[in-house]
Amino acid sequence: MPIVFGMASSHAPSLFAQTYEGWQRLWGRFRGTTPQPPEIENEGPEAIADFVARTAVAFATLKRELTAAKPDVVIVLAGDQNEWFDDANLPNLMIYAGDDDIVGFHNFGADDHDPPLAPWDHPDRFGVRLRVDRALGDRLLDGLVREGFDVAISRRVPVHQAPRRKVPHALVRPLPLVLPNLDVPIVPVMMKTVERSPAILTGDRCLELGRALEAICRDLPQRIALYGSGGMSHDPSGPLAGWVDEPLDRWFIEQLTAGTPAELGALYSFRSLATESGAGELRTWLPVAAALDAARPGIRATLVDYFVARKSTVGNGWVTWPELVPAAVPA
Amino acid sequence: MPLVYGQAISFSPLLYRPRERWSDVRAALVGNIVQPRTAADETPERLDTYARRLDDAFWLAGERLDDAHLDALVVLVADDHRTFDDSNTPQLHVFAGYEIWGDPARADLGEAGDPLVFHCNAHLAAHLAEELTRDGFDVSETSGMYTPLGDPQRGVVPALIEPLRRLAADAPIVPIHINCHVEPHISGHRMAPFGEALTRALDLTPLRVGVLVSGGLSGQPGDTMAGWVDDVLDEWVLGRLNTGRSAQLGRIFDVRSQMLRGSSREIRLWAAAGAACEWAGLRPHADEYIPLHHAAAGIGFMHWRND
Repeated sequence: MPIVFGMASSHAPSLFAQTYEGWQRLWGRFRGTTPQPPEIENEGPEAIADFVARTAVAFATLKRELTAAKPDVVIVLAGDQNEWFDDANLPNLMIYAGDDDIVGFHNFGADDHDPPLAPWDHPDRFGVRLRVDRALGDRLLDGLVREGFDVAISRRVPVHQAPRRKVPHALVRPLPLVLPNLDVPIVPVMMKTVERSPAILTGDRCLELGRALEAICRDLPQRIALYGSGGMSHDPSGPLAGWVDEPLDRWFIEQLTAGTPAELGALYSFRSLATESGAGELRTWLPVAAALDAARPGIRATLVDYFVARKSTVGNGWVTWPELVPAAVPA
Repeated sequence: MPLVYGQAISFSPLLYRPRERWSDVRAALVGNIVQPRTAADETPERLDTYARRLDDAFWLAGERLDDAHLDALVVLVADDHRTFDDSNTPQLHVFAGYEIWGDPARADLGEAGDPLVFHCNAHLAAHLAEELTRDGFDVSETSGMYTPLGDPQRGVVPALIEPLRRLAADAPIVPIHINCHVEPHISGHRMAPFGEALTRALDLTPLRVGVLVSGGLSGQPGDTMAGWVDDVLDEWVLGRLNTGRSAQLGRIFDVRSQMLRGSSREIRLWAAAGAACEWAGLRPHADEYIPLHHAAAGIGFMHWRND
């Protein structure tokens, strides 16, 4: 069974806050000391309420389409920000293929409280447990290594560099909102996306990864979906915090919706403030785009939504690709 | 005779105004755009230091240019609606006339008109136009009198005039325009082959020729992020050029970004010059770099020569 469905989205912390006050707190945290763009004045309570509503619709759309695709497993392309890894051993690519579930915390609503709730202090409310498809993880490891990808191997949930946060937020924050239910297993494919790291995957390499994933999955019996988690342009606490690179985001989306993901290979082929920031997380979207394109050349993504929310310091986007192999309809 | 010398200098009006006018220049370029945090570091003392560094860089560039004993100097610049208007904007343009003129004075700085005329090597330019065309570059050519259409009163861009005046370059020039500011811009991937073709064409002449770039590096003077400088990009560009890898600059312009607007687009010029000098076997030297918010640009100096 080939890959049957693909999707990608932002996962900015603000997207999981429901109130103006929550957004204000997060803005205060992530803008750092960077002077803010004048458009920030337009993001009052009414605008934030609109962002909150659109976010809910966008994630619900992803969940609805993913559910309809009836995936047996979801391969999640995600980055890490000092959660599983630190400077001691930072992989460009790593797949967790262990027996243990991944246990961490989402942050949905945590910053709406004053003071904000620490999710790890409230495991009953914020706890997330994700099942892992070890067998598929093994297939991906074997196949990718055979294809020349130097994937780091994880058989045990990595030693937590941020013990309280436990798990990369790219996994545990958005997945509860998009998985049909948390029983659907995942395979986390971790990609280095950290800011200002020169030894990091180029856009071309990310596209090659996607093509390789598609080739490996093509003959497997499961219905496999792909999800890219991260982006779009942002630079939390960095020199461009709040200065969302809308031209970059729009260009990126344009390539996906035009069915021309190969055009994105130039990303990360050079260093720039624009791409060394959180925009590096768009790497996680590239394998999804390339895999879907390999499965059906020229396939066009659908833009679910995109908005520039400077108080989230992020250009927020959601896309899906059409279901490739329709799920059987029960008789 | 092959290309024997290369010089690249960023362009900002600030480079050609005395230190005491820098605040005025900054106001003209940046206006009231919110500035990055690091702009506050540009104290008067820091700016004095920068001014001294720039003076040194210009002095050294002028000395090296003298030492090169050039018969002609090819100048790569980007037009900014001065020579061309929207009736006909070339991607590549060789000026093969006998003289070109322009006025770098800025009314917004209260400057009186100050037109200058530069002698050109029309014969060499015609040769380059022909050879570049034969080599697959669809160049536009001016073979008669210089007639600026975009700005008939002010002529060619200050980026051409100002460095020639400051460097006291006296060799006849060949102005070549590369389209960096009118969409669709020429592909970045064309720059390395163009530079190589330029050197091949120069190989066919008996002249000692240099190439001068005036433009870039990153910045958006007069735009929505005027004063912001992508020093990460600039230093990557200089690093690539300094290690003979100009071709890698080609992909920059496959990407769209707020940070790749404005003068950042003129990095194309540096890519072309780098490729030309690499093809000629000249050794690169990255001499200076200052991410100068007052200039609304990253200010770099490079040269290429046989050591």
